[in-house]
Amino acid sequence: MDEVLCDELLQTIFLLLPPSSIPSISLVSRRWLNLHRSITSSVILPHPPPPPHPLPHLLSRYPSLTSLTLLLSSPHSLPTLLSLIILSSPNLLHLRLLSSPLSSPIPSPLLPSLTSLSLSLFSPPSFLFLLSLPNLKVLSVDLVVPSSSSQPTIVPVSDSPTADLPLESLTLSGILPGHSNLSWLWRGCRHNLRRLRLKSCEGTGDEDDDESFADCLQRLRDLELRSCRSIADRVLLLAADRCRSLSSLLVYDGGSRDGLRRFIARCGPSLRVLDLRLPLDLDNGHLSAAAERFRGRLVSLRLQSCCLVTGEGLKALAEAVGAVLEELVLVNCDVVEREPGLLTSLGQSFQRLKRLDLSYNEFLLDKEVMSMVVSCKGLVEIRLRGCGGLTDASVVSVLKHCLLLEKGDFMQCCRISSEAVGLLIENSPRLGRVFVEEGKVLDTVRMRALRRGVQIN
Amino acid sequence: MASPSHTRTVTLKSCDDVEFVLDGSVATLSQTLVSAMAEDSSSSDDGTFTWCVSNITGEVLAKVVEFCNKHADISSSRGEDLKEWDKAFISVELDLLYDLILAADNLNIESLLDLTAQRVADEIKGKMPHEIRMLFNIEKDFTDEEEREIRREHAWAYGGESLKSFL
Repeated sequence: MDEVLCDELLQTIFLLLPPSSIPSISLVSRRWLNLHRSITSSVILPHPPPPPHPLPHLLSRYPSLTSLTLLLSSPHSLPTLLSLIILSSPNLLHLRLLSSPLSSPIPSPLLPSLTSLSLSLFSPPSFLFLLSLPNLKVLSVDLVVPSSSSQPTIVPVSDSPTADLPLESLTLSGILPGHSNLSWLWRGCRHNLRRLRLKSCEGTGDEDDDESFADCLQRLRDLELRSCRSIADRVLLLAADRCRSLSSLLVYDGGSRDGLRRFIARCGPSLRVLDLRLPLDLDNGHLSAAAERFRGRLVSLRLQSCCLVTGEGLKALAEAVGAVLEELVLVNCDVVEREPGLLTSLGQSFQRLKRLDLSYNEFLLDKEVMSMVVSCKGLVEIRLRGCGGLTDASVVSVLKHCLLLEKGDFMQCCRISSEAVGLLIENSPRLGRVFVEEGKVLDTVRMRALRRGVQIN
Repeated sequence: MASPSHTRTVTLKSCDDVEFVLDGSVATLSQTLVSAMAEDSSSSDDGTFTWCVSNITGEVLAKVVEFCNKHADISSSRGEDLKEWDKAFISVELDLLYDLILAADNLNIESLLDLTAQRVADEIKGKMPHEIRMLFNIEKDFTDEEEREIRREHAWAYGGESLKSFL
């Protein structure tokens, strides 16, 4: 009966199968194997691959490949790798290289299809290989310090002519102080870069040439700084002065009180999203300043572990942006436990709130949450993960008042019972997804959830 | 030139000469019929159109017509109920399922093709290679060495549990 299933239909059927069925279907017959390979768009392969087949041969089996992850077991040269890949997968869109860092002293052959690339490079890096990727929009690079001195010497690139790179999103982690050859990269990014994420960076790689980094900030919309303590203040100040259309800022673990204060005072009017995890640096002064600066404009405020903040600061902000704020995140911010009635007043101020996250406030009580959600009729998402003090009463209150709810997170809430979870899943009219422990969903509820299209976890 | 309008009726004739009369709007579920009607310039004045389905029996065609009538009826075509109905409809023996696939393919009825594909996928789900071969009457054409190599490639290519944690 195999012949009833024409190639096209069989491929349709394969796409309907869960990943766990893939090994079985490819071992049925040569025809099934080849048909399955012909529609596979994403694979992970070791490099060098186990004998007998070399990488181009393996890749040529997957004519529809758009996403490739290579696990590198030894250091490779990026040009050589790209030339191997281009032979067999000229249409690749996303490439991820894991584990072993690469050296890339010279440009490689053109790979015009590639739009996203993530890889590790030896530090200090050369980015000249970007010249061979004319359509690369998303780049993520982990910089790794070579363990031995036997690594290839890096050709200095500071003298290379400036190129106009197509990059729109750039993630860099591990820039060390004293890397002086990132200027070329920054200059190349000055026209197109929209999103910059720096992780664990202690420098911006432009010690001799501050202007090139500042230039690349001009058109930025999103800026993220994670664990960049030593450069955060300088980058924030540059961003405040140079970014003309910054709409989202994230700072986790880094940035001083003064640095943040200066940023808020000088930042342009376009900021909509503020995401901060600054346990010992963020205080009410910042929130009051932000309230004045971003009055009537801030759409999302996310605070994590900001233990110096009190109700006074949050209320000042509520007064200024209450009419526009759509997302409020107060994760592990003990002010919501310390000050009874604060959430009630926030709920009343933020009339347009759609997403609320109060996760990891262990001592948060039912009556606080209940009196807040009474006013939050427009909530589509609520997260109460790790709030061990909450009971069924909170869930019932959410069910009763948040009729637009689409997503809820009640993980690690040990006092919330399976009955309340079942009640919510079965009765919340627009619910599409719930995060809750497996054991808290009874089989009967799971069946009904499946039928209603509610995804659990 | 005639167009597949709602006022027309379509007569479907099976290979064993069983006839089914469909409303024109029902017939539009079949791309094959839509194209055939569009090309049919000799449209009779009484607005009927006859189409012979050469390799489908009356028994199978009856099922197909039942499906089309249900899916074309807008009042009943609402989410939950229709899904339940589809599920009951496609709970048939494998032989009939194959005939339905052929018919859906022949008449090019996308929603029926989707439904039959899902049913076949449900049959395959959770089965071992030899069970799938038995189900579809397929001969094994791999050598043991080839089979080992494919298994090795899979361990990498689609990421086993251990690999997922690594990523």
